[in-house]
Amino acid sequence: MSTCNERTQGPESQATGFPSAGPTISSVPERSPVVPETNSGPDHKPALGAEEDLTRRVMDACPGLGLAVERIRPRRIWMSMPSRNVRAMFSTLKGIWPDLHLSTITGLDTGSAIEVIYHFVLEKTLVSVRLTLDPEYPEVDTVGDILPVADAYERELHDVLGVRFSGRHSTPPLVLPDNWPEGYYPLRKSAKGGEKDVGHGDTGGTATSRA
Amino acid sequence: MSDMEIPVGPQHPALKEPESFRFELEGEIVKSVDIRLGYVHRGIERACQDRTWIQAVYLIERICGICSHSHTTCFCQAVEDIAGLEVPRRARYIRSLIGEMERIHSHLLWLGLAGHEVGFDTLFMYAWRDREVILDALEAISGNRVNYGMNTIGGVRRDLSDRDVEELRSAIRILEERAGYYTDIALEESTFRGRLEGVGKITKQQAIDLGTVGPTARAAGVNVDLRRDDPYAAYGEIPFNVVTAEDGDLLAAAQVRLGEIRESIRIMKYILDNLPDGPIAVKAPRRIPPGEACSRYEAPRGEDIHYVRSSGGDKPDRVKVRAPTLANLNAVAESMKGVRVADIPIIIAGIDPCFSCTDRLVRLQDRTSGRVEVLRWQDLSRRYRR
Repeated sequence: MSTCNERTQGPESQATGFPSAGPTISSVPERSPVVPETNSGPDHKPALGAEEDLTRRVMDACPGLGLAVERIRPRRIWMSMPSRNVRAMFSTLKGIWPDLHLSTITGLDTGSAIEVIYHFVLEKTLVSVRLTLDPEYPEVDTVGDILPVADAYERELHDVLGVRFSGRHSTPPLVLPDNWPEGYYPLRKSAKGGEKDVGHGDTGGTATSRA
Repeated sequence: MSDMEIPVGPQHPALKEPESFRFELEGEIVKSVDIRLGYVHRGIERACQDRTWIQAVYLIERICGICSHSHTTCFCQAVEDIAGLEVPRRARYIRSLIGEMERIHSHLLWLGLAGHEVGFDTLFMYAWRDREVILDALEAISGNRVNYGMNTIGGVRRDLSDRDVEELRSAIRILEERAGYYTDIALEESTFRGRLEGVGKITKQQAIDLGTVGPTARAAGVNVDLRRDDPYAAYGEIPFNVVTAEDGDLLAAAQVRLGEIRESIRIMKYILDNLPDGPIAVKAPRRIPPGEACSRYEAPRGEDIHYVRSSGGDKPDRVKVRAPTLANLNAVAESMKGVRVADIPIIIAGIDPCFSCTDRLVRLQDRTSGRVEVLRWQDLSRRYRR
């Protein structure tokens, strides 16, 4: 397939209708419409060879980090680990899988703990690693320097759940206004809707730097 | 020349959410950009916790006016995964069909706006006229031009009649011809190419490192598409092509989106030819059993991901949504570095098609004299249009 440097020349290809230097088209072949893959009903036991193999390789790559497998589903792996090892895990995995894609970071208040779940993609499988943090003082190391996209997700978690990310030089608000009361985290179980009346205020003048 | 700072936003609906871009300039060249979000943060994740599962579907439909079907499909899939619901095959095909129609109207909207921002208003008028074809078809099926309300937990709410299928086929004939025309115009027309080529560029490595998703990533050569990589709805059974380009600039983004319109038309044809018979939904329980699931969806702008947890009640315990724009913002900031002020409008328009044309203001401040000049967006466009 030709490259886009040749865009300025070349007649249209009759086959695709694109200029010959157009986009690359990679084909997905027709597959047999027999087994629905996305859902797994109670009786449906899909083969999980690839996911189990990937889990094994992830576990082998991160010895001594306390990674534990929770469950394996089609194209989903759920794991947990002690929060202190999150940086070590991501540096190791990023070294082995350079195209590691951090999809997002979920945070939630279970009532007795703050859970932080990192969702990332390895070999087209979504791996979710759960950390359990102390609800009194939820703190975890930043991974923003290893995975730049984590910057926005960490700021969001700090806004809505009060999770502190150590190692960042600042955690400016991302989704909440600058005049939001300190220490009031809307996704904590203790937060009551309608309790605070917070105007949005003029926040336009406080552009924040990216970490 | 002294440095200048241009705030674009927050009341600047270049994106579907008002955002604040602060451009630091050295002469004509953008040195850096700071982005501040949250001006339309509506607390939807929190609000979902106070609604029943079905009510949450309608709230989630309203996260975005363009990719409403993307969000509800993503959410319903997660809930169905937790509840172990087997969605009927016909419902999965209808979900994919509406998803592709949504992709076509989103990409046509983007194409028109891109045309508008580079001063090619004829393309804007044409693309938006033809977008009406797909919006009319969506209205015929669902009763709505946007926020179609097609999804429910366990399937879809409306079936396709034979008449709908026939109308869709004639809409497809028009769109197919027009998509070919736009491919010729947009990718061959020299002034349009001149404004897009090399502008807003990111490399493949940057796209990977910055977590870029969707057409923005595919334009930089990252071969990723969840319809193929993590098939949902009916995509596991449908043949289609993943369109990628190499250059990572806005011309590549246009190539990818135009290619995707053609692929979406192909997928629609396949679905209409192979639409299975049967029920369109299974009954979902009012209380969803305890559990958690993660669902991913290839929205028009890229990977949409929903995390849902149930504690066994009639309301969600936690709903987490990450829409594609947030993942793409880092790449946007990166691609703004070193561009000319004249290219800011097209780069903003190039990253996100949701754009309401209300009044816009830009404030220019001379740092040394402190002189402030307020320009309307049209004035800025006129002043810096190349």
